[in-house]
Amino acid sequence: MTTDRVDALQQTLAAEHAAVFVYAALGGRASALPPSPLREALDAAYAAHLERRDQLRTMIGSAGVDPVAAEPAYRLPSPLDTAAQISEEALRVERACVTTYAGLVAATTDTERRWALDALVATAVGEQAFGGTPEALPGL
Amino acid sequence: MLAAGSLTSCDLDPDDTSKPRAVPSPDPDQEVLDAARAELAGLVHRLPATGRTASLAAVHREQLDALQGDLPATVRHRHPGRAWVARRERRAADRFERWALEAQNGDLARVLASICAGIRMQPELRESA
Repeated sequence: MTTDRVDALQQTLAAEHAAVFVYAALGGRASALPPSPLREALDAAYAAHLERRDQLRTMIGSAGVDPVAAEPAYRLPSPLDTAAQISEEALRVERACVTTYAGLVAATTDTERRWALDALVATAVGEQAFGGTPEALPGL
Repeated sequence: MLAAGSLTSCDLDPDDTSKPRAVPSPDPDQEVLDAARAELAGLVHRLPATGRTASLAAVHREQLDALQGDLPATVRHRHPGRAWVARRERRAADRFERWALEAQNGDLARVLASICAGIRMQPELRESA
């Protein structure tokens, strides 16, 4: 496994650690709001990032490299009380991940690139659950 | 944004005439790049930049520009049917997905993957899913 590939995988894992943390916090904040499509979208995004984080750990570990650990905590914007504020933060996370996945596409080949491409497409399309609008070139 | 031709430059000293001239090897991604440009140019040609296809046409022009492709000389004025557009967009997204996986240059793969995702984000394709 080349250094570029490992670095890109580790960067993606670091982004997933942050996404998992933020989505856990957003889910907690959203639980105080009435049931809504936003809560369902947050749950789905949390599950997706959790799964990708675990897959990345496996991919990196199978190359004989220690997967990067999560930070103790991540900074959240404030205030984070309304559905609009929660959606905005979720969209920021999704866009950051899309950019990271695009970088991983560039640094990998074969099955790893396939994984990165699938994550890129799914996350870009999923942005719309948080108010994102279609783009021509997501992640660039 | 990038050209496949820039990816295979030779490190020859232009002033050194004592060495035999090296023939640049063909760019392994040129075929993919040409096909990707042709795909987008075809879409721009078929989608009028007015009415309900205006937004989609603008998206494909931006994508074509990212690949440094040339805009088609003409654009049709008659709007294609929604089903045709959805079918054609889905086919394009599938092709860009395949090209992104095939490209040997990582930067080109990134752009092709982004175009694939950009097409799949568009309402014309999502509404027909």
